Amino acid sequence: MNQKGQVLMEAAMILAITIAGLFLLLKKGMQIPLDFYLDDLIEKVLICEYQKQLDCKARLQQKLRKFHFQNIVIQSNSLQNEKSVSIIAQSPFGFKINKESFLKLNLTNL
Amino acid sequence: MKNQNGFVQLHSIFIIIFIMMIIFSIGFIGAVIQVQQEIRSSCLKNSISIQNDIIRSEKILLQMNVASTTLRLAYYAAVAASLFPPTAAAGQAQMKTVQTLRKNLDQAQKLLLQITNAKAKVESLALLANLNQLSWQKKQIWSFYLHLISWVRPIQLPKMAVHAVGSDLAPNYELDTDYKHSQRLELSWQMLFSTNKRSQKFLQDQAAFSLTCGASPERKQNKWSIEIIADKF
Repeated sequence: MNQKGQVLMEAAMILAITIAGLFLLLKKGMQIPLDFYLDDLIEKVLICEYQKQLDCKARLQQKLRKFHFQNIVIQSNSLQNEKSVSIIAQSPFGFKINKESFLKLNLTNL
Repeated sequence: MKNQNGFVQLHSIFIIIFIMMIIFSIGFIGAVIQVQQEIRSSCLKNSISIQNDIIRSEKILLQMNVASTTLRLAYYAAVAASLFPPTAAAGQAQMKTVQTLRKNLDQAQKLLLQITNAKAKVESLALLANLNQLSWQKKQIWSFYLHLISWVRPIQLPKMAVHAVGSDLAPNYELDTDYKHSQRLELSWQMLFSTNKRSQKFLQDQAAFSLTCGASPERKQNKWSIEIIADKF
């Protein structure tokens, strides 16, 4: 291998490492807003359930599918003034999410 | 740059800044979602609490109807008694007593209305100020590369949705027919952003976020409840 070839090889390796690094950084970076987005979605579902709207869970599932989430399991519970929703799913970036949130609002016992 | 090295350096700087911009933008979207969540959560909890206080006062005011009706009937009976000579004196005395009681009740009713409306207004404006402050604080962090306009404005401030039946002293009160609408508290938050002049060399972007939140009362067969006002999910 001559000097030019070695430089080319080194450049290609550095480029590959840089691209892989950037890809991983973006992948990790996307997790943060995605996390916020999921928290927001869960809260919206809880509010939707308090509003006694129908098909809140179905709409959540639809939104998650739009973001290419897979193996989605949604569970919701309702006690007197408290509602909770949990989501287990596989994100489009390959990691598994497991989120649970609850909301307590006193809307009826006045 | 005159030589090739300089050109490569300039190019690398441009790419690094561009990548940084993308990372900032992702972070910004995350931050906006978080602000939206905080505003919605605070708005809903406070609106519910304000509606709760108004409903409590309305319940008291409507319960006073029993006393106002009783006193009105007692007053008419006393007026009738005062018209007949045998019971005229007793009737006159009764009229005075009942009228004093009616005046007291009238004052209590008006005071309850004024205090509740004033409290609801103050609390709603305090909520509005808090939410504006919250959105303004978060806005500052991103001002180095974004031009942001963010505000929370009232669509409807709440008040007791009742009216007096007749213009008599210590009248009966009843709920307005459009009480859901006139008593509701509804706020709207909007955020418009665009990359500022400096950043526009690397990335041009603009978008808007908005949400509506609040609470309104609901009364079905004498049972009160609160309905949440939120954007369609």
